[in-house]
Amino acid sequence: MKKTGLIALVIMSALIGSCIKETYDMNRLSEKMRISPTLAVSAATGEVTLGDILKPNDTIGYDDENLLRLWIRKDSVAEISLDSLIDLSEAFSFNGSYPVGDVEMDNFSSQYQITLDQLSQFFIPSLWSEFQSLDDGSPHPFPEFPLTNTGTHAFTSFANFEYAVLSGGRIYLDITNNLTAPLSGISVTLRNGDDNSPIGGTITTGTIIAGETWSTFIEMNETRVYSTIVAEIIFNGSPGTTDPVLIRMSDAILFEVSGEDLKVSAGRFVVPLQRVGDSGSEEMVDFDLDDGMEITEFSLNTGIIDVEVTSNLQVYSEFSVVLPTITRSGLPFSESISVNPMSVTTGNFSAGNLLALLNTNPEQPYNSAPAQYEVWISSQGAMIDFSSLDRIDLNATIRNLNVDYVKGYFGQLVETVEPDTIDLEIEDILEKISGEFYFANPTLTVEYSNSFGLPVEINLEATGRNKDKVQNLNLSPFVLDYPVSPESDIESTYSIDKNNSSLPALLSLPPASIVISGGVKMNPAGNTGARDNYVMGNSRFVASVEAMLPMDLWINNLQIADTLNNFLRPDPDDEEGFSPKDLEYIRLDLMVSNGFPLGVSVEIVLHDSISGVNLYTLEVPGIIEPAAINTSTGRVTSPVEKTTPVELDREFFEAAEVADKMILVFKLNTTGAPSQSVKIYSDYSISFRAGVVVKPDIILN
Amino acid sequence: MKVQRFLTAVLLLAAGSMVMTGQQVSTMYYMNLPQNHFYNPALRPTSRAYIGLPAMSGVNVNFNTNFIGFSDVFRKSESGDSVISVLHPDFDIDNFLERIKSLNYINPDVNLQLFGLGFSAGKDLYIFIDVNEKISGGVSLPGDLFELALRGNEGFVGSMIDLQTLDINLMYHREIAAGFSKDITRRLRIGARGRVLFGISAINMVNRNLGISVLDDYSHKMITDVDINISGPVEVVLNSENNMIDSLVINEQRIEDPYFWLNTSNPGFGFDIGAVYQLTPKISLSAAINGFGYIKWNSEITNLNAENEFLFSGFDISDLIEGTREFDEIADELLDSLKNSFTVTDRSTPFTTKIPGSVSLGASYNISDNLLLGLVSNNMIINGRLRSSMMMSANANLGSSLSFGLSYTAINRSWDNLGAGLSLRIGAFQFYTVADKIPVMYNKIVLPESEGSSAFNLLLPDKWNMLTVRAGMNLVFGNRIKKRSDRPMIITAEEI
Repeated sequence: MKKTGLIALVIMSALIGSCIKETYDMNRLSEKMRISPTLAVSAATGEVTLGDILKPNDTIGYDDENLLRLWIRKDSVAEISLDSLIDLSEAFSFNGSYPVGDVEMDNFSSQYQITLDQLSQFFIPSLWSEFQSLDDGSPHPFPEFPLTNTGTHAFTSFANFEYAVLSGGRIYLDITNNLTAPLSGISVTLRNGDDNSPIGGTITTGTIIAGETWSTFIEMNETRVYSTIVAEIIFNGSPGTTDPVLIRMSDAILFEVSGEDLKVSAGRFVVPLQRVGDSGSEEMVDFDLDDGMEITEFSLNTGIIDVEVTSNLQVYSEFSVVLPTITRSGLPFSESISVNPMSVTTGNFSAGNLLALLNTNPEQPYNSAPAQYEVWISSQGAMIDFSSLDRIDLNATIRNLNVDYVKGYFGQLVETVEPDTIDLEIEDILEKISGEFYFANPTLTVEYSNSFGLPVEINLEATGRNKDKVQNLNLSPFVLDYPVSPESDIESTYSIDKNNSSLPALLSLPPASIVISGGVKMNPAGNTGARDNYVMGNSRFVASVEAMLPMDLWINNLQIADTLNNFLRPDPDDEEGFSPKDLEYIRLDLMVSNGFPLGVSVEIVLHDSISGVNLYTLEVPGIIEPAAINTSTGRVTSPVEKTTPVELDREFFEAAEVADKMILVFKLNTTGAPSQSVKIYSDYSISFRAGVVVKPDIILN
Repeated sequence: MKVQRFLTAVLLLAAGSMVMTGQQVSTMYYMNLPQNHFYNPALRPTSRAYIGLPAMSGVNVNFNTNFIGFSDVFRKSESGDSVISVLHPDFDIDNFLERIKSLNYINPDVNLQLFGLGFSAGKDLYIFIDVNEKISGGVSLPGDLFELALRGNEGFVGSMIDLQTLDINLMYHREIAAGFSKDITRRLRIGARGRVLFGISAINMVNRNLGISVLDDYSHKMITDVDINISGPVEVVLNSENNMIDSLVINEQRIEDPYFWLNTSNPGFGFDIGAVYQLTPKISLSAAINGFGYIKWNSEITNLNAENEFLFSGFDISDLIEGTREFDEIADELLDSLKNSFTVTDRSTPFTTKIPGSVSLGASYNISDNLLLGLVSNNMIINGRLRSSMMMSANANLGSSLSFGLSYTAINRSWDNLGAGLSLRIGAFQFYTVADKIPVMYNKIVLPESEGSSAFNLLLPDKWNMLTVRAGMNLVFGNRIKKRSDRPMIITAEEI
């Protein structure tokens, strides 16, 4: 047995030594090592509701039914005050030119007497001697004498004028016979001493008994009269007296020339203080208003009336005006201004708290008011040249106007808005999109507060352009609501929508630019005679615009394409960095439950811009399917579920190594487009789960 | 008739051992060695007494694995001009993964007999005392891990990556045992051995649940219910923010402290019982319940517990889309949730480790006085799993001088395990060596030159599922075998 054991032991040892199954020369160990596990992981999940993504803010909101709306509100897009509508400071201006007209001149008088002695000088010598002898202090019968021409006698010059063209008044001639015998009559011819021109005709008196004054007058009618008047006196004789009378050679016949109630139209004279022209009378003053304005009434809170008086007179003047229908605290407006000769005088008056009625003229019940004005002139004792044609010009304007209100007809002002092009600066975006979309119910609402009591017609023209496509707004002119007295203001709105315009088509163009033009017409119906326009000083037109775009729309094959730099392209300088070749494939399993009526297809194109070749195109049609809708309401009825695998294989990554550009194309469609609109509500949600399956090719050596 | 009984016993043992997942069973069982009482306390050597000297009486190294071998990981290329590894593109991964089991374990352990003493006390009583140092370990790797690493997780969609079999255990304890065997009747001997155990250091993982479910939508649900109990100079530093393990610090000073190695704070107890029954003069039957025990670890305890469920369904980017949060916030929140799901609690609660035992059934047939055929079925329960092996041996015990055995063991679904043992007694010195898995086929590995060393060849067993080597030297005294005219019992039994 010992032998058996020993033999067995030997055999075992031999067997051990000879059983080499395999020889592995580790010097030849290949260094290639690679693992390529397939890893699947849920990468992302989520459920989002539209209301959570788009929270209401200034632009985004939801109505009572939770329909998504976009709106843009711009307050105070227009704020028009009275000043910008009507320039009343220019409206209320007044220019008047007042000729002085004939003015009064002070009365003048002068006397001349011819004594008997002087008269007898013209008798024959015997008669002269007779009269000389009779002047003895004793009464004698006054001898008769014949017609005696005593020649021309000059009165004393008048001091208050050099000459004057008397347009009115009288020159009186009084002849007083202070002889003791009657005169058979005297012929007097008055003449201007300067040019011997007659003043009136020859005056022939009747018998002037002793002690009687005989008077007559000459009416002045543009009669030039100089300050020196001469008289040609011819005595028609005297019958003498039978009764003895004292005959005194110093007794005289008195001649008195006087001017009274004289009106001068021209001349050089001392102008006494007097009120001239049609002063004191009332005349209608017309206000210069532009553009056919017919103002019937206005009230000013404050203002300043600037007055400029230009005097062509050589007299001092004082201009006063009373406007009976323009009152302040119930009292007519009245002001005066003193004007120096031949000067321009300015002044200003307060126009505050004025109420003006410009409709009291039955012939022109607008733009006019009666004015009572007075002009007092005086040369202040100086001899001045005067012409009745001399004028006082008055210019009055109102500034710093603070209008309380204005009534009337403000004219049919037309303001044209020159075409203005609004570039929406979306050309870059438009170049990247194609396809169609249509917003079914956009509205543009103008909310305004209008305290201008007059109709204003707005004509808004808008044309959208997108390359060769053009769409007009096609909005008819409309009249803004306005308050009617006694209402002071009114708030109203005007909406532009599909019912009165082509706004949906315009917005859905979509426009790269919009050309806006149009106009504003005040009182579009023209002057109806009602003159019922009414504005206050604080009248304002304030408008805000609200553009609202409810998400009631359809989208048909709307493609949005964008070209990016290929971010998958590995950096050639980064040798150790991740290379897409390290992946056999990546697959994205996208599980979507879509509650939106919007479907999305995606296309990814890897493009080599150098060769211009698309190296790889990955199409994922219907990655998100649109949910079903109720065709009558446009609301989603139930979500649609879909699982879409998106696999990026090795070919893709090989192309990604070459392509420098990646073109992403998203195609959107709403349910039932283009024949059906859909509505987007806040409670729409989409849930998704993205699983990623990656099979990397990891080279370990 | 006797042969029939033997064969019947063989068949029964074979039927009971169909699940062949391994445990060491030794050729030593029927050899005339004092150490065979480790397998059945009723077994006795022929010597009257023996002394096992420290570190000399026996070093037992066991290595059990059902894992892959060298040739599973390296192969020659198709052209034969190079060696390719399992990660080579041309390597047949499917073939490799077929070889990976659902449960892959590697169980090394080392036993060092510090002292042994055995002596006959009286006619039928044999007393033995042992002091052993035992280091045992084990790593269990779920096959799904390899599938996951090499093929990824796509194959697990709709099922689960089962990691419940992931296990790590390491235990170092000292065993002081005393036992006896006594003839109860002429045919029956019983033996018993009590073992007082002193744990020195241990790492014990209790995996109640660990796995990752991959749902159809690729969501991952991670379930964790794991305890790791540590007894030893290890300090676990947890992050105060997230309660994750920051670091493990070994107290080297403690290790250098001699009292660490003499630690008696972790007591335990184990027992073995066995019996040998002489059915016929040629046929004997044996049975043993071996190795069961426990240790309660009380000192330098660190308990780490991770228990939670975490579902990862991807990043919920709803808030990102809604704009209420940034991606970094979402990622941080997910990470925090993940960290909070797998919090680690550090306690110092004593824990108990069970030492797996085995149940052995044996039968032997004495062909002659010196030659014996034996059959042993060994069934071990480890972590609730039964590991069985069946060993057939032929032993030649030539008196007390020479004992030689050859064995064939079916274990770990491995059918080519040959073992051999040899003991040689020269005077009082008995030298022995036993190897229960003698590799038949080897692979020659030509290692390249490296700095400081030249190229050399290494022989590695082609299959290294099991390796058990024991060697040592005993001082043996006396011989109880007397020549008898009748057929003796097996050499390990005193004649009754």
